[in-house]
Amino acid sequence: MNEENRIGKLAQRARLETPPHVDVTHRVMAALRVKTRESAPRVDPLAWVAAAAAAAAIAVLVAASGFGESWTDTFMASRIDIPWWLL
Amino acid sequence: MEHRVLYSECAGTEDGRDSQVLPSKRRETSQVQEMDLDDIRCCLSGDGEAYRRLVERHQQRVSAIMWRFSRDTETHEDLVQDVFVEAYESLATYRARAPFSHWLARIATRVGYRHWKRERREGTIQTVPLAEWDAVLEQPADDVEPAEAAELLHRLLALLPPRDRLVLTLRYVEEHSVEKTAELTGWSKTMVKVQAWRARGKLRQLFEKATQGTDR
Repeated sequence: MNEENRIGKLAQRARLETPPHVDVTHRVMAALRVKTRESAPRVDPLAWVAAAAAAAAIAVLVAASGFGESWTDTFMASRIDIPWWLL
Repeated sequence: MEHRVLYSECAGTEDGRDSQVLPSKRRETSQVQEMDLDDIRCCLSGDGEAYRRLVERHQQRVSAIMWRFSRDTETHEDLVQDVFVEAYESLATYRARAPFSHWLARIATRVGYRHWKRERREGTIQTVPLAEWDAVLEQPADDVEPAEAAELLHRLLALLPPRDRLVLTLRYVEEHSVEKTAELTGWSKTMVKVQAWRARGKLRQLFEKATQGTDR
């Protein structure tokens, strides 16, 4: 095939071409930094809300258990004023 | 070889190992491979500078490969960058069975092939009308500037599907052997031969169609 011979000759010429000089070092390192940052485990803003809610819940639980203990204490119970309409 | 990656010290320097034994060219290649292995090991143990050294050492070779996949300077730089980013992400899978540059060339071929497929899907390929080819090819090949010849071939082969374009580029433009083409594409040697035969057939058909078109 005549075209194939011509293409072969063109390919020979094309191999003599000098490819452009590139320096992608900074670009590569920047892209890798971004990728590493993206893949690093991030704390979601909602996680902070959840943590605060959990801390508040624990505090309420502790206070409630203390109050419960004092409520069921017979000595304390005797000191509680029971309103007349409840009797 | 494999174990050297694991046991060599994290130096990142250019020392002259085997300098008394090997002839200069082979010694140079061997030194580059040693440096590559050192840098890969350092990189895997968290030394970011080691990868910078690898990029600096191999970017021109990768650039030459990617220039066959895109002749647009911006896209070309993007592709070179993609190759190194992809290589970094799979660096832990490098087993040092072949030189790092060969491993990179395989990744580069994969990235380039993916780029061609994307271009075809998006319809952004620039081709040369076959009817204009006769005029182009009438002038003696020696008179054509290398860059012009490369551009013409690039646009001509863009008429073919990416798979055919890849095999013809590797076999006839880059003049790689069947074995090397198989290594770069990840295909079997038989597959390369069959694909190249089919691709040449398709190219021939394109020329025949163009000739019929101009004869009418």
